[in-house]
Amino acid sequence: MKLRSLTIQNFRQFYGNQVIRFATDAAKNVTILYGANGSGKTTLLNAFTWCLFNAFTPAFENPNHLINERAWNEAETLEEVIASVRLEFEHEGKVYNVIREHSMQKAKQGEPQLIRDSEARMWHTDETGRQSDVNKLPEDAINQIIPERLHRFFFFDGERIEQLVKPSAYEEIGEAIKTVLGLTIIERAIKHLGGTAKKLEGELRDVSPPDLQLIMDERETLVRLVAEKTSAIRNEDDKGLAAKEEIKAISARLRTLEKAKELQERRDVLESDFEEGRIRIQSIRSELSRKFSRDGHLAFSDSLYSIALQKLETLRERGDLPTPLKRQFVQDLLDRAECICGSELLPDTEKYRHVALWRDRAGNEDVEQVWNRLAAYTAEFVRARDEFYRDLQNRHLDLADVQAAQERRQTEISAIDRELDKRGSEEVRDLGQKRQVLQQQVEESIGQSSVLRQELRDLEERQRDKEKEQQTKEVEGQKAKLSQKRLRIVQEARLVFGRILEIRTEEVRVKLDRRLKDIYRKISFKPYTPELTSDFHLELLKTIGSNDEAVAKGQGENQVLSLAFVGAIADLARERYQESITKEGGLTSFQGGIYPIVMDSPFGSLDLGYQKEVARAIPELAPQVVIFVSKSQGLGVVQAELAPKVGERYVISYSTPKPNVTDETIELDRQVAPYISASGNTYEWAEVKEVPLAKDRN
Amino acid sequence: MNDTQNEIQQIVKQATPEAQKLIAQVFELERAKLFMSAPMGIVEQILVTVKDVVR
Repeated sequence: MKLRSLTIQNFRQFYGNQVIRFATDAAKNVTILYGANGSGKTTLLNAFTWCLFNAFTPAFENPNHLINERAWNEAETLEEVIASVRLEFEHEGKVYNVIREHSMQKAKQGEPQLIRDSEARMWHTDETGRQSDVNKLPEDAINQIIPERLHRFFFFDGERIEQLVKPSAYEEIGEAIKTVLGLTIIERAIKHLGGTAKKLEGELRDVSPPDLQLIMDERETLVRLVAEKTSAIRNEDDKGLAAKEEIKAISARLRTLEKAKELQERRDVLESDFEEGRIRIQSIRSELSRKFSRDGHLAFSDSLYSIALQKLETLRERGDLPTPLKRQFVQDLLDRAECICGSELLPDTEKYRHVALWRDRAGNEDVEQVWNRLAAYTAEFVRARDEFYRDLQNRHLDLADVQAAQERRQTEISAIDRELDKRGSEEVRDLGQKRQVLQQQVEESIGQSSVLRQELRDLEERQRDKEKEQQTKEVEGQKAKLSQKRLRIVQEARLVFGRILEIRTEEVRVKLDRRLKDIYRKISFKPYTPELTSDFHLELLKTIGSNDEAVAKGQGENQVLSLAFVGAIADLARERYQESITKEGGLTSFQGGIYPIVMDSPFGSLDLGYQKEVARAIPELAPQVVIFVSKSQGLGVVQAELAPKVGERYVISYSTPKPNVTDETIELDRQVAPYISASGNTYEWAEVKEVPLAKDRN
Repeated sequence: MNDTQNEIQQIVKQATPEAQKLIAQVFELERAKLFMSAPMGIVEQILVTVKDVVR
């Protein structure tokens, strides 16, 4: 998918017709739009998502008000006012156009009357210029080109992209992975086979004896309980997350209040350290548990080795076991007829017989080797056991240190809370108390969720047992037997599809993880390694000694990590597309694709160091990149890094009805464009103006 | 063929012949309706397929 142009008509702030042509040159693949806060950058991002998917990003307020206010007010009675977005793009050699329109008529009393409610039309143009409508619903046709489940990875709000590393996004990431690999077909098969099994169960129930009906009832109850438990877990997790978000908002508010600012900043540091401490404790504990499961036996074998060694030694002393003396060595003495003490060893003499006795006691060579090996193993076990104890002790000391530090932090946090309570205004006190209640809620949610998860595991096991019982229950009668067999085959097929889904998902997770690491390494200057875990969590790890430990991430790190993940998804979709050109689909469906990335404010909360790295990495994330930035984000270091890659450049000129506004301009390559100006009337509107690049001006 | 494809092939091969037949036919049905965001009547079609495969 290669974007060619976007045409906006009376859509939100954008008055009249505005056209943006995108950079399509591979060497200059970036289109950049500068706009002040509130001028329409988020609206432009949403123009894409609305046109293609009839969807909006979370930051898009009042999505029902799509028609430009000025256009509406200027319309005559009975006139239809249309807000529309048209996107022109290329895909697999064809040029497509999608237009979505929303229109209202100004009725006689001035009341708006809906004419078209976000309706879409899609057509393509062939080489001869002939236009024809696509022969599917536009939504279905678009979904085949760019699956809706992937759109938030390619059209996103940079300031919110860090949401990807939050627990609420894990499911979304899992879904995206399945979509990229084209596993929708398998997911659907699983879902539809489930529906088929339900129907077959109904048929079986009609012809089955009461005891089988009872088993089926019990199984159904278990299925319902599993679903209820799963939903209870989700609710509990959501509750915990919501409380955490509220805590964050309270902390942010406290940072702005004069009387609380300093204390809150100290509290933030302590909380961040506390979080790192929590992760460290988790990591030590899991390392301890790994160590116990691997080497724990050493702790209980202490006396065993000592007793075994003692017994062997006694046997050896008694002469029942060979001494560690080489038989060959003694034989050599006898052959040479000379003892190590210099005495002559002649056959049939007392001295010869004495030394020969030593040779016999040296035993046979195999026994000797086994004895030597045994002694070496035993020594190794003793050494490993000592090391195990030493390591255990060190880790417990570490754990105690971290726990003591956590206690200190906790005490200091409590002291700060008391101080806030004492020193602060009423608002500070209220916020502090609310935070404590929320903290309690978070802890309760964590505990409750873990209990529920255990209950869910038990229920799932009971459900599996009941399913087996239902499948193997002997039934009589041809009809019942046939129904039971059909149901068994459907469930078997469903299980096979489920297994395939698991295997393919894991395969793509591993691939994504590899790409994520590559891209992150290019962007970030921090000594961290990202990881996409088996349950689709995006983590950052730091190597401490021989262990990798999770790092408590700041907003900047989260943003960089999320960008790297988006780049990895785009990369994988591209690879899949290239593979699909040469191969048949096999057990997959979606053929991948080459997608642009459109992002609003990707430099929002990054400090200068990160801005530079991210600006350098952005053109590499996808073959075509569109970014919306404000002056404060997009000039200076960002502009310098991006300049060689920018192929098209625009400014959103914003007109505001606010009185006493000082006009603001933006200067790009010595060209000055209006940035903010007074509208001179009661309307606000925005226009998109091209600021040609040096090459276009020559 | 890579390891994953091999593993998948082994899993399919281990299924009963009827299940294997059903898997292949369900896959074709799903592929034919993939472009639809909400395919209608597919459960009924699978039901007919099952009844055809297991008589």
